[in-house]
Amino acid sequence: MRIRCHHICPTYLDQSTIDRSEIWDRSIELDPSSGTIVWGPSGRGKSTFLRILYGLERRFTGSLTLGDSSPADWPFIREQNIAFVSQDFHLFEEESGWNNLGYLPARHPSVSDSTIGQWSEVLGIPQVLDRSPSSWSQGQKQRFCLLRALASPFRWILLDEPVSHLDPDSASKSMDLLLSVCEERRAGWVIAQQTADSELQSGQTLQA
Amino acid sequence: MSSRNFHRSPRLIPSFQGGRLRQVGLALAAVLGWFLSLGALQGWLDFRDLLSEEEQWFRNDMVFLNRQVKLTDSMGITSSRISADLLEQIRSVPGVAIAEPLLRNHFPASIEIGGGAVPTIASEIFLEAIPPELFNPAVSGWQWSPGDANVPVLVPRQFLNLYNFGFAPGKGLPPIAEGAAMRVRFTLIAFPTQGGQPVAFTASIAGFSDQIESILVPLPFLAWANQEFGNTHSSGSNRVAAALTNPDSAAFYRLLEDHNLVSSRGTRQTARLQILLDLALAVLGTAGASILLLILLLFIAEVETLVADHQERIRKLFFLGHRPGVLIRKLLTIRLITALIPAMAGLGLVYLARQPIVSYLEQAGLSISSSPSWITLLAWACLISLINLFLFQRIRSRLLKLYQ
Repeated sequence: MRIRCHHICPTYLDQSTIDRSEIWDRSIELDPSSGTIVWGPSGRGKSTFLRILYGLERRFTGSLTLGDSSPADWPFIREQNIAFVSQDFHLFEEESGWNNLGYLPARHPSVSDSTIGQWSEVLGIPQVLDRSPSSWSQGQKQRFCLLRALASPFRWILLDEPVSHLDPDSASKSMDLLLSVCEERRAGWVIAQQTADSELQSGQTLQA
Repeated sequence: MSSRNFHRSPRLIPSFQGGRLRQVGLALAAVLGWFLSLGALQGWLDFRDLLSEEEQWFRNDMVFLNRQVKLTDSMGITSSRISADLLEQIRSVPGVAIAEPLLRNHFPASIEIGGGAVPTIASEIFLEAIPPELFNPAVSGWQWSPGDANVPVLVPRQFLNLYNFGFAPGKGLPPIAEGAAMRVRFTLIAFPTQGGQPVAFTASIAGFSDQIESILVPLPFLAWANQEFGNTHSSGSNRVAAALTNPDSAAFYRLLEDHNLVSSRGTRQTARLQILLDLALAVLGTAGASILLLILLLFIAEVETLVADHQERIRKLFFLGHRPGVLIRKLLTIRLITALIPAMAGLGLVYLARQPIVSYLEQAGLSISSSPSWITLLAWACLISLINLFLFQRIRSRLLKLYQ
């Protein structure tokens, strides 16, 4: 299931940003067999690009398809096909970690409670599952959001600066877990980050 | 390992996000609104029934007019007839919709009841007929065509009372109920003015009315009988039936006074009482409609509050991939529960409040049905459907706006 972007461009982005970008107003194709890194300094629209791919941002021109589906179908296909780790955590502050996971509309069939437990150990956040997010650190919230995204079914996972609050060791473990799950599910990933440098082996690197 | 709550899906949208006390307050206000509006409607229907049940045959605004008989009329110097000119004047008065002379029999007539084991009662009578447009449009079965075996007649209720409480006790006869009287067939006999054998017709009482003062037969029968047995030249109208569009028309009462006419409706005060009753019913209906409007505004405010209360949660759920349709259904379920329970409670209160009113009216000799009218139930069902349809559209548009 490829993502095809044909000259998509946010209606509110200034022309100079569009001109020097490799994602805006270009024809690009994202292949699920290899990951994609979208990099650039703040304000270039990296988060916007991911929000467009996820169907949260409708203010753009150009055309976009996910397989054979257009953005109008996003509400119906997103539940089973796309996961998103955004910079806004979208956590239910009054609920425990377990209950936050319960708000997912669907869970990947291979992900059991014990899988969640194992992943939380790998990510270093087993203790947060029984506590509410109001007592978590920013880093714990970020790792929990990755855990929550991995628990859902997806063929594409979009990550907006997913390790920005993590120390290098935690970031490395998080990315290793991400890649192993993606490989296992043959899912594609798109990561937005501030620099082009990355330990991840990506199929393409695009400047925002 | 921590407790395993992952399989237990938390409630996506809790019912009491905005505070239980406020929800209870809104529900009580809705119960009161439903009770008052449905009660107003039911009260209006009851009043209408109580006023109209007395008369099922004629238009409620029908009056009979005749000249007040003077001594000079008795001496033959003047006439108590209503002339064609005066009839035209009556028709032209503002507030008079229809004015037609009553047709009366132009031949001698009598009735005979009984025979066999029952003592025969015979009496000369006079007959009248009024145009069909003065009948209640809902009246059916009041017709006659040449060749019909039976002649239906309408009898003043006062006649039955005179029989039951005057004639029958004096003769040692039992009183007769209206229903029983309507099952009795009697003989109506016409005596041709040109001479010849009397002609007998089978007749039956089609009903009783408080609004008439003479025995009425269908207009086609009397027109035919006058032609057959009467003196066709002895025409003229002594009495006029009129339908009023304005029962308190000053011009109408001035006409009565100017031409020495008497109305069967009675005094102007009676007419004013009728107007005041109409006004009370109109006020009651307007109050009910206003309350309904307030309910609708209350529900709109409630929907806005419902969506506003859950806005942040809905955004999060959208982000996690929940479909808008699923969330709309969840919100609608809450909305339906919070709308239906007060609506049903309001309807139940109308039913409960009705019972002492029914008892009170029964003691006063008036009767209304012990359960609310089907019109009230239909209005309730239509309103709840319309309100919820409107709220569904509102919730849908608000949620889709959040999604975008």
